[in-house]
Amino acid sequence: MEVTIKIYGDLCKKAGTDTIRLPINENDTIDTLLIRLGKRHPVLLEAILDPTTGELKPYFNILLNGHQIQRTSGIHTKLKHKDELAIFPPVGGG
Amino acid sequence: MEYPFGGYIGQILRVDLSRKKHHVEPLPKDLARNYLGGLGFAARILFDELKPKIDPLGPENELIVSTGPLTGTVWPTSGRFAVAAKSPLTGVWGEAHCGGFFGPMLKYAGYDVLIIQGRSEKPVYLWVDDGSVEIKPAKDLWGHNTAETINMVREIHGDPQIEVLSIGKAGENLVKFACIVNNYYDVAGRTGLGAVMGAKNLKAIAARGTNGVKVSNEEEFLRLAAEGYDRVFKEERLDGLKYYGTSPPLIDMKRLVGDLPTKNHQTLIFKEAEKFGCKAVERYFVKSRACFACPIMCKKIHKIHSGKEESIMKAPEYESTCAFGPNCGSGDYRAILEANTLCDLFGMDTMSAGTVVAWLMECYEKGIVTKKDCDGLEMNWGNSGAIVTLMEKIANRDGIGNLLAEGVYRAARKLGRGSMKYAMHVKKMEMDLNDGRGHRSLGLTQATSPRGSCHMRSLVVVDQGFAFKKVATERYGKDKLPEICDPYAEKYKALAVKDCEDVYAIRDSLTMCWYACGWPPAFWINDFAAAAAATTGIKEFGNVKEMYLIAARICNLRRAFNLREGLGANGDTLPERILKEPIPDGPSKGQVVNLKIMLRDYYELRKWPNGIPSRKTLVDLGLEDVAEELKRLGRI
Repeated sequence: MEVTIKIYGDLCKKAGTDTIRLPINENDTIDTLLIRLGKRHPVLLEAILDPTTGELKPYFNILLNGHQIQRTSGIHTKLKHKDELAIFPPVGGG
Repeated sequence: MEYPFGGYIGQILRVDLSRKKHHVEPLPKDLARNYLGGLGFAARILFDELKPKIDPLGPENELIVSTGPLTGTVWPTSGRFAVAAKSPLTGVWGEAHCGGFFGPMLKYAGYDVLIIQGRSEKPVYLWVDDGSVEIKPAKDLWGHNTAETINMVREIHGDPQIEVLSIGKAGENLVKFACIVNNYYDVAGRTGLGAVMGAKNLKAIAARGTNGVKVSNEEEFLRLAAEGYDRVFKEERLDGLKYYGTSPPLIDMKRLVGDLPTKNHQTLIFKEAEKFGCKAVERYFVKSRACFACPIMCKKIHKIHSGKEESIMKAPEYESTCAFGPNCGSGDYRAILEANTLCDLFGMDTMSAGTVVAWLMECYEKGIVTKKDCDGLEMNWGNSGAIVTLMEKIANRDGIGNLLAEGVYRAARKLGRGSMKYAMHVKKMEMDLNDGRGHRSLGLTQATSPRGSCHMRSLVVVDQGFAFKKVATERYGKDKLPEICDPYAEKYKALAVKDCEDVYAIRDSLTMCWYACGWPPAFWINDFAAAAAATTGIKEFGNVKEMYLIAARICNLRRAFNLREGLGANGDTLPERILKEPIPDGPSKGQVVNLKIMLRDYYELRKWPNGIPSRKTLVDLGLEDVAEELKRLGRI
């Protein structure tokens, strides 16, 4: 099983790529995936997680298949095969 | 005698084009004290000086160009100014705001406010040079585009530093959504104020000044300004804006969350939108531009290669990208750039221009108009050649362009055949490229904006995602979560919209840019209060409550202006599509806007029973004279 992580805006520059594919196991959640992502791209994780709390920094958005994860179970949302995760730096407006 | 408050020059320049006269008036101290500047000045002056029901394109209308106490100082992002008049597009309150360098230059030339009244018999331009004023013939400028006009005026006076406000063909031809352009790319875009200039035969306003702006408490002002720059430089939430500008990051986010108006708002998902995102557009970047005193530099310049030819073009803002791209079903970025550039040169608002084209495309799709009706153009979704061709036709009022030049409401009314159903407007102004079905507070913002559909008067960001929880909690309290951050919930949205409308009224009166306070909130109303007090020396300005009082005064005055024209709660609505047609696909699938709930809450917070300010509301704000006039006219 595999998921795709798309990285947007200036975060791509920190990650050095805009698309990362990672394998997942049954019952894996977004937070376990982020830990795995951090091992491969420590700079990216540093950019989006608060170093003291380990929580997602305010204003960063994670979408799972276009839906904001905070509307469901947040970073504890379970992942399934072919899910697409989008990580956004702060952006707002119209 | 020196003006008693810092930040202001203390002078209004009044120009009567009919009589070819001008004179200087002192800036009334009460005006500064009660209305702050920029937008606030314009609201009070227009309410006092315009009679209801005048023709917006007649000599009785007045065009106000107004600065604030921060304009021309080094305060970060303060190089803006307001333009206002009765709008020829909506027939009610018209305002537009602009960056660039004109506002500071007007103050350096000796004036806080310009009031243009009357109508010249022949084309003229206004030349304001360090206190001296001339109304000069513009026969040779007439017919030229905005960039040529700016260059010609600078050549005439032999000074490339002169700041010029200009109209293009659209303003000359009284296109109802003609705009005013400063410095090639900076635009007072909405409500058709370029047509007001055109109707006055006023081709341009040029200014040169060598004076400065004196602030009251210099030490405190410089401390706050330095802290402000530091905040902007260190603000990592501004990184995307600094690097990519306003459009690509927003396009990327809005396309994924299902909030990108597509095909005249038929849906909020556009499959080709990735072509306008950060990754796709970055390759065209060559440099960044800044407005006066702005360290953000959000304006991006593109270099485009076409065969052996190379063009330098302004990168479009989000609204322009969406207006000519997704909302017209086009994935052709070069065509968007071309349409955007033509709008700047002809002097037309991109949001209105894109929306009238999208309306025509939907009419074509539904069989309401034929190829013959459209001068032989096939108005299929995404026909980028037709989009670009129509820009020229609209500006010149040529063929079908003459119908579209009237704006979508009048065009649909004239065409008939059931086309009004597809006219996306509020109060006769074309919709901005946002949709309350994907971002709920925007529905209320668009419905209540005094100038017609507009996101800028009270754009709430906190319900663009749960990532804004922290700022929502700080502003409105933890008990408002999660609904206040939910893009699909109506609850608490009126609270946020009303608050933003107040804060932005102060922003537009000081005057400052949206991008340092709307998102991200590097500055908010407490910062505005501190800056206003240090600049002017008016101690009361340092109190946030006083700022909210001034804001409420301005918001009620704009409402009263519209009420006097007969527009009240009847204008606070949205197109039927937004209220009744559920989004067919994507993350916002099934969403519609329940406007009634949000309006009820908004009126309650504003103390406007049934949408009308009560006498007590007006009197409490010091607007007893306004209450009297509304009563005399039978409006309250």
